[in-house]
Amino acid sequence: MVSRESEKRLYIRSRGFTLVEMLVVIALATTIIGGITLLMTQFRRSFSKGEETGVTLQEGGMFLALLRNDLVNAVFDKRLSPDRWREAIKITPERLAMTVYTGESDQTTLVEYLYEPGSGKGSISRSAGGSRPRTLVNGRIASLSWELATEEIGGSPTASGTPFLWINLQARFGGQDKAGVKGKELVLSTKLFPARLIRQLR
Amino acid sequence: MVEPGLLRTRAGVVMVLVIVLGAVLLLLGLTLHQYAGRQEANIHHITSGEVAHFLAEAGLNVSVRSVRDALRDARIDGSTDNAELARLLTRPENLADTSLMPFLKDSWNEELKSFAAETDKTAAIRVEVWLRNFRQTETDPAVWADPGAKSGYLSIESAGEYKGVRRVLTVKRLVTVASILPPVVSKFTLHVADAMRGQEGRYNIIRNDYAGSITDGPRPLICLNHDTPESPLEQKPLAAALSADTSADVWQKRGWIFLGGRRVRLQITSGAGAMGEIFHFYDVSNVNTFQAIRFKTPPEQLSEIFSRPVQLPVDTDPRRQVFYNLGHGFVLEGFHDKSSRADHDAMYHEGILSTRDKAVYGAQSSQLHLFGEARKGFQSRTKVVGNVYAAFPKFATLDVTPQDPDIAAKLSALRPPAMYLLPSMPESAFDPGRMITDVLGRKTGGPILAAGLLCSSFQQYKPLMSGIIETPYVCLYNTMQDVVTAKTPRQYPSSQALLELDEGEKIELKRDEMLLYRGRADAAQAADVMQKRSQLEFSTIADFWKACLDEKTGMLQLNDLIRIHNAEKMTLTLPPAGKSPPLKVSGGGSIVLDEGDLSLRGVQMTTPADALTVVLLNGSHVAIENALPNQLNVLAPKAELSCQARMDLTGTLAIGNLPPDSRSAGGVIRYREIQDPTQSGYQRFYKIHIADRDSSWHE
Amino acid sequence: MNNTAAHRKCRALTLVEILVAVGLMSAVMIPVMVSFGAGNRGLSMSSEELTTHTAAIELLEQIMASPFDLVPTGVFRNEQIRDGQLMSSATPLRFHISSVPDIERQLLVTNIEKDGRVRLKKVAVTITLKDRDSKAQPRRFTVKSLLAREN
Repeated sequence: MVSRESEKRLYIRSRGFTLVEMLVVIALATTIIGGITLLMTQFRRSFSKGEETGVTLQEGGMFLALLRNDLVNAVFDKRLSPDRWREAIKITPERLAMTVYTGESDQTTLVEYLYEPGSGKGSISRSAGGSRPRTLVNGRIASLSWELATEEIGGSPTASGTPFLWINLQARFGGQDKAGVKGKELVLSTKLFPARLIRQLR
Repeated sequence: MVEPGLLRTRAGVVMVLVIVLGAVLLLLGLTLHQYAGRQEANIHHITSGEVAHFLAEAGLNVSVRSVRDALRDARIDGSTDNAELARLLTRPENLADTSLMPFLKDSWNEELKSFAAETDKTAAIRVEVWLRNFRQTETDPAVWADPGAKSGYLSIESAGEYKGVRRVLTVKRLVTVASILPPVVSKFTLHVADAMRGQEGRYNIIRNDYAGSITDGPRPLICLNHDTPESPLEQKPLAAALSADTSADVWQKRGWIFLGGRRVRLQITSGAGAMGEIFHFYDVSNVNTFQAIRFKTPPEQLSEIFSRPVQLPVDTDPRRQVFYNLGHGFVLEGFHDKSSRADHDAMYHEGILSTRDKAVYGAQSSQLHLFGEARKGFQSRTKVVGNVYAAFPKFATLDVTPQDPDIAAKLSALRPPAMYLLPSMPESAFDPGRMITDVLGRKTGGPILAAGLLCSSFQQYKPLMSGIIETPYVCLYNTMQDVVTAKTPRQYPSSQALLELDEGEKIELKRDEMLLYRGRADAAQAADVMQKRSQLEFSTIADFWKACLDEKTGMLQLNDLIRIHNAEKMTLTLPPAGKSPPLKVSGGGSIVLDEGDLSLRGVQMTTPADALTVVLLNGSHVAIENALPNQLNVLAPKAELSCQARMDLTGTLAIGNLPPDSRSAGGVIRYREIQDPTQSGYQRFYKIHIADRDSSWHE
Repeated sequence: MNNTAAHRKCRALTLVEILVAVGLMSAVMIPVMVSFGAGNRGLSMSSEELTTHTAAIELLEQIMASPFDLVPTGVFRNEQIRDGQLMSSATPLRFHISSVPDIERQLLVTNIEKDGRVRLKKVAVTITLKDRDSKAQPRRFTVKSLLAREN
């Protein structure tokens, strides 16, 4: 028994791999490893894409929620005369500003949203009361446009109507990670109505 | 034969690889799944938050009106004494954040509960009402420190909840608590910023007789500085008025008088009736038979000749010399122009008062009667602030008592009794040879006596002689204390030192040891304080009437402190033209008029628990157009008063100038003790205003 | 003869091994694929949810901002809710609607009376997501609120 064992070991040790065996092994290994690598890469890309989509969704959703909250608290600047109601919210392509109540008695502060376009990697930041801007969406804005729309309800050429205003917001959110994987784009097209501000203008 | 170990080793490697790979991929997948779950939760949070926001918004929309109605039902405007909420707001201290839910009838939360239930089983809405951020607004005693005045916010907080996400939407409305009574001047019955206007005796234009009846021309303006049995709003029983009067410091609880500017001299009116003022010096127990009080000069104040009997010739028989005991006394009277024996300057009859006195003072008495009238319960002594002097004649008499019995009998049998008046002489015209005789010129058995026999010099004679006394008006308060306590024997000047001349440079007003004001009596900032208290503004008087006058009932329903800009400088007429007087006021308050004058045609409060104040910031005229009563306070520091009819005002009159009017029918100003800022009744005159628009909102 | 047998036994084992491995891998891949798929679907749904809610809030918010007396009552279906279109013939109010694909809007406004007066209006916005898979039960989101006369 022992001698057969030793013989076997000797046999194994002394026998090498044939070329065919090697080729087969290499082919198999390549196939298997390649397949595994491909699988891993796909899954990783999918994960990154999902992560990017999630971040886009979160940042986009938070931006919208914050903007809506500021519009809830928006107030017409008392220093302006009533006929300048259209200046209640000041909008330029890169800036959206309004006066809001802070919650402390009747204190107000100026809130600004600043848009920095950047070849499909735009950013939005927000500052309140002149403080340092806080970035809300970092490099994930493909395009953004906001404009103030106004209307005088029931107005005529000879008589002014009831003031009504809103913000038209069109935004495409979508980022890519360092590897260049793009997440799913979030398209927002909406109109925002600051109800209490509108009531105040009346 | 295969080695079992080998077989196990090869198979184990692949399995391990598969397991490891699978685990890694599974981990990635689970991570992504979890991540997606978190993002989903975030998005749910955002969207649920938006739904919760609209639930909160619904809560606010439903409750605002209901809250307002509930506050009105809780009598937040303090229109009744039992209003717990009004008492909470008007307490003389700062107010911490307080929930109003225990005070209000909450009808809205049940409505909202059913709305939330039909929206979703996880939905909930609750609206609470709070008083927040209150601070006292009048804290400077140099201007006016009212501990009850405050402002803050009514905070309506609506909490919406949906799927575990809560949003609170808060709306605040400004609440102000302020008094409708003017600061400082509400302590005064009559407050005249500049009474003198260059003539200290300008008010002495009343022509009256010895009994106090007006003989010609204007009537006096009588100041009743406390509630009397005839007060239209707070009638005080006679017994209570008399009982209060005996207190030495009753001035603290009465309306004061301020006559600002320089020296004002008021000549006291003779008589004990409604127009007379000599209740200070006369016994007026029976107004029809008022009795002069003879004051006796203490012997230690007299010269040596009064200390021993003097031998003098008798006027009935000059050859006879009799010993007489001499004494000195005097009677104080009022000014009177007419008597049974003289049509003009009656008090100067018989030459007892000098021509110099007549030239300086004349015989007419003052149009202003600061201490009420002679009736018991209507003698209204008070503190008089300012450089105000009272003037009244003193008729000095020589008491003559013959030692000889038959002469004494003859003298005492005389009717009227003999009166030896010591005539007034200026120093330049001092005549020691001037004879002292009976005022009726009778030969009575008295002495033949010259002035020089009593006094060798004018300096000795002066304190003995008759003349016109001028004394700070407040001394009459001290004298009145002897009257009410029936002190005998009476003494002049009174030994009481209750009040001294106070020119009004530094008055102090306190309530319960709280300092309300320390400063000048002219209260220059009082009108500014009233302006700052304004809670509602109108551009024109027409806008004001449109908002506050009930066309059906013709009643003024104010319940606020309002301001009218009135750039057209129209006159505010109460009641307005086209409405029958009087104007009935069912909700008191204050009206601040930036420009324009005031015309009063009758104002009547429908409840004594309320008041009306009108403030003219720049107006130059306050006119009394008819004789109907006016129950209000007037603060018009730049205006002058004109009375086209008899004035009957219940409240405070604070005016820039009160010109004496020779055509005036006079009248009465009645102070309301309940409006005294130094007493506790002042608490009921706060008005609470809640803005009808949102002052701020926040989520 | 022993070597061949051993060799044969080894090759047979390797194939079995591979089969087992492949089978095991398949078994592992199923939950992996499911979790990846669910994750991506979840993200997709969250994105749709955000878009849909935004559309709902856009419509509700403009009704809440409108003058109380001008807001018409009734049921308004998707075809009536168009950008710039009058809400009804009885009011000058117009809809202001953004273009969002694959959704249908519905608006319901009802009066709530108290003491004989219309004091409140109940507003309900329903957004129906048109499912691409044409499932029997499309997803719906409803947002409600109450509008009152100012003050």
